[in-house]
Amino acid sequence: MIPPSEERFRAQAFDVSVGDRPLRRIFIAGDTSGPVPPGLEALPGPGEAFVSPELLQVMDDEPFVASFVPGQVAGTVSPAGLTDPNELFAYVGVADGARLTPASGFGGRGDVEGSGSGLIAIQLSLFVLVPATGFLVVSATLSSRARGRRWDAMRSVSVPEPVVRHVAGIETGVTGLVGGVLGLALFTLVRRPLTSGGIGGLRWFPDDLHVTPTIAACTLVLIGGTGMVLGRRASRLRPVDSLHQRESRLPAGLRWLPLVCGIAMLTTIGVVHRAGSIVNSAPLFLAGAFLAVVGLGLGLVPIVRASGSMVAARSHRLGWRLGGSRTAYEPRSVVRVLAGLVALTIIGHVIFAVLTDLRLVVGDQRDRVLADITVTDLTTSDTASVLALSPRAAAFTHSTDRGPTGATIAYADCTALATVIATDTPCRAGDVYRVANRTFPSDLPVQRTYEIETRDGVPISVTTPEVEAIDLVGMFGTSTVLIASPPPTAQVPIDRVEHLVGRAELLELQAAVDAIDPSLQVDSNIEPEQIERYEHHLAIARLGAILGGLLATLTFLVASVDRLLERRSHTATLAAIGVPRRTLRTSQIAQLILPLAAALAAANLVGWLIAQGYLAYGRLVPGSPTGQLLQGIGLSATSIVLALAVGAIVSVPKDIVTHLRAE
Amino acid sequence: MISQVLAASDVLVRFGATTAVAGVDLEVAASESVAIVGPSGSGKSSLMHCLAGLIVPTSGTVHLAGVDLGPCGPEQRAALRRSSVGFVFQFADLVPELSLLDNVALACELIGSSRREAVQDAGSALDRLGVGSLAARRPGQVSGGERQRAAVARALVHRPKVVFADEPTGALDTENGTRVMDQLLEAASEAGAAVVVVTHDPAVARRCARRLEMRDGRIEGTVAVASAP
Ligand SMILES: Nc1ncnc2c1ncn2[C@@H]1O[C@H](COP(=O)(O)OP(=O)(O)OP(=O)(O)O)[C@@H](O)[C@H]1O
Ligand SMILES: [Mg+2]
Repeated sequence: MIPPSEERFRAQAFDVSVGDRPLRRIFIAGDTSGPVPPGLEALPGPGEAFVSPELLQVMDDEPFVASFVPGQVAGTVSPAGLTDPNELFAYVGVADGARLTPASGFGGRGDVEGSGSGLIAIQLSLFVLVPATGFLVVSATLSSRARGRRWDAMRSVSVPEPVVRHVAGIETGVTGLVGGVLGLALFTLVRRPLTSGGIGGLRWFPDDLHVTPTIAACTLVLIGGTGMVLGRRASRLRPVDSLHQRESRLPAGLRWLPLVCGIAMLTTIGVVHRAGSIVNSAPLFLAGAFLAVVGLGLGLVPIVRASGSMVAARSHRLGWRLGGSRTAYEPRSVVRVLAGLVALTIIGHVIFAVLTDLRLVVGDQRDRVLADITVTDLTTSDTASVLALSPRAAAFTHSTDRGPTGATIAYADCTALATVIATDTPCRAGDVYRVANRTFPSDLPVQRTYEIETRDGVPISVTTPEVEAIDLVGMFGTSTVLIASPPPTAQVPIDRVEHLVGRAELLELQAAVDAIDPSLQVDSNIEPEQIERYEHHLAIARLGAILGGLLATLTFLVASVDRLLERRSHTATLAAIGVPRRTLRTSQIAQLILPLAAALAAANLVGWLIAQGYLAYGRLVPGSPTGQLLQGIGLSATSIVLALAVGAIVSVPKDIVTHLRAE
Repeated sequence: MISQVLAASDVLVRFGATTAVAGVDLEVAASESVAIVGPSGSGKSSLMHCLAGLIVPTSGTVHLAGVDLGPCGPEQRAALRRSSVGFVFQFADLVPELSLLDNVALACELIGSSRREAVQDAGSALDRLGVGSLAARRPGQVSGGERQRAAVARALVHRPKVVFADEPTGALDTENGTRVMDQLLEAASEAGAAVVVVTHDPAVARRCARRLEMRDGRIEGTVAVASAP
């Protein structure tokens, strides 16, 4: 055993490629007695290395790879420390750490590299920070009536206005601070179980996420400061007329207009897309989305009010009528606390649409990876054997014979075509297609005959058809003519062979190609990492949506319950004149559920339309986000059920007289 | 006994160490109007809450509309209040989000009237009190006196046996207070309801047939007022 170095712990990642696969090595030097990353039992000492099982395999197969991992392999990294079981990964202990950067945190390696992390940050902040801020804002206005009375009492004994506001600010600020301290403590408590569980497939080191004094100070200053500002704002003197219904300055018709227009525009995109036409109008989509969001902002109050009025007018049950009237009477304050949940719902739809889009690019082809084998000076027989490699694969060959018109000629037999495209007319051998889709029409002129010269000088003529029939733009580009036939064996000079294979077959194919000629490269249009990344995003977005949804629902519930409690004296009056407790309870539940259901229905509709428009716009695949809509509805239903439970729990005053006296 | 709508015997109300009502016997006949007066803290409101079945006395019995409140649970007492009692409080305490009409109709619906009947009865009750033209307005959109008149309509629309009013004119000026009080007594006698009013206002008390003076939780004296309207 080499004694642990006195030196400071240092770690740095170095990435190299083995073939086309990334190999990440983390070099470690210095004091290795510190925290141990997941998947390891101890940090490697100088001259030791821990490698992933896959890397061990590759090192056995390819001795040159071993040169990337200096030292003695002392063990393997268990799956807990890998983002993918097939990952090439190593921890390497070195003696001289002088050239390594001192490690500030030693984790984050489970983090998604590259472009992904930015998106994750955005997702998390939108999902969690937006509702958290909403929570803070709402909390600052809790018990507003009681507090307002207190400030008024202070003013009435001629405490100067600045002092009143100062006291209000300090009060909220201190409450915020206490909340902040509690939050940080809670975080410290749940940190370990959370990190070791691995959220959304991500693992990190508990110690990377510890609350440093700087973070704690910043958080507390931020929370305290925000609380103070909000408290001061909330204590402002309000004009008396706010007691009466303030009517909107906009005429009712105008308030609905943007929402109706936005929804109409987005629906048009969806309908047109569904009818099979090209939706290529960015202005239409952007304007539709903008109008729908702005319209929802303007229309939320009328929507909530309308839901209340409708129930008040229609319901035969007194409790619902009372709750409906209440909702219709004061929609503004309800909407204020609902805004966070509504925003979150729309954000959620948009983010999931982006992820659906990513899936269309990445995920959907999981079963049909396009493996691109670059073949140079490959003999005819080799070509045939390459083509024969993967019996389940649909084979395409590319001709380089682009000629002056720049057309690419590709071949695929009908069985292969059937796996990738849905043609209206059945495919017949010898059919010629122009590669195009609704969004990207073919570049090639119609009824043009291409003479393809083979190396032997044998001409083949191909005439482009009138119909653009095929959806393979992503693979071939729009200047491709596709012939429904097996590739001609010898005549056509081939420089690329493309296989549509299953993801699992990719490695099989690589092995087979290696057997023919190890210098042949198999490029795939999809990297396993992309799928991994996509799944991380999805998992994080899901988690974020749930956390954010809970937080926003909680905000709404806390504020609503607060208002219910502030209205106790009214409830007590109703109880005094003999309204049954069950009716009062129903009324409370209705007051929680009605605005929530109305607002969430509207938000889901708008969010889903935007998502659908986003996916329809400029896209060939009908990525209908129906599942997403169902998820949105599911989450909303959960909020509503939560509200129902809370409404049922919030007590109806038993002690009527006390609340009567309180007024 | 038959004509008594309200009978209390030896009612005692304690809040912890405080004795709010210290043994009160009281009978109120149908259509009778009774004023309870006395200094602040003498137990007027507590007695009234007891008589109306809003609180349960520490000891003693209360019969309301012929029903002994003693064995009644909260729901039974609520049912009794719905059918036989009307309330007018100091601050009208109408439901702010309902129109005056709906506020009044609520009392009818609580006793099982259909919505149509309820609205009809409420409309005529408001008319009778001179606020029929304001029926569609919410409590926040009318004056205090108008609000209190609507509250009187609500208290009487379902033809209760007794109306309890705690400082019904407390938030009104003298002129308005007098008018509301007169209207309350007039409407109650039309409807055949007894009225129990808690008040500080001698002018209000003078309008009732009987005046009870409370002090330290006890009824000290009874004055029959001849000139009841
Ligand atoms: N919930 C309670 N808990 C403790 N003490 C109470 C409670 N309610 C009333 N009291 C006390 O009972 C006594 C009688 O109160 P009550 O409200 O009946 O007086 P009141 O005659 O109506 O006075 P006012 O004219 O000021 O309204 C008072 O001393 C009061 O402090
Ligand atoms: Mg009192």
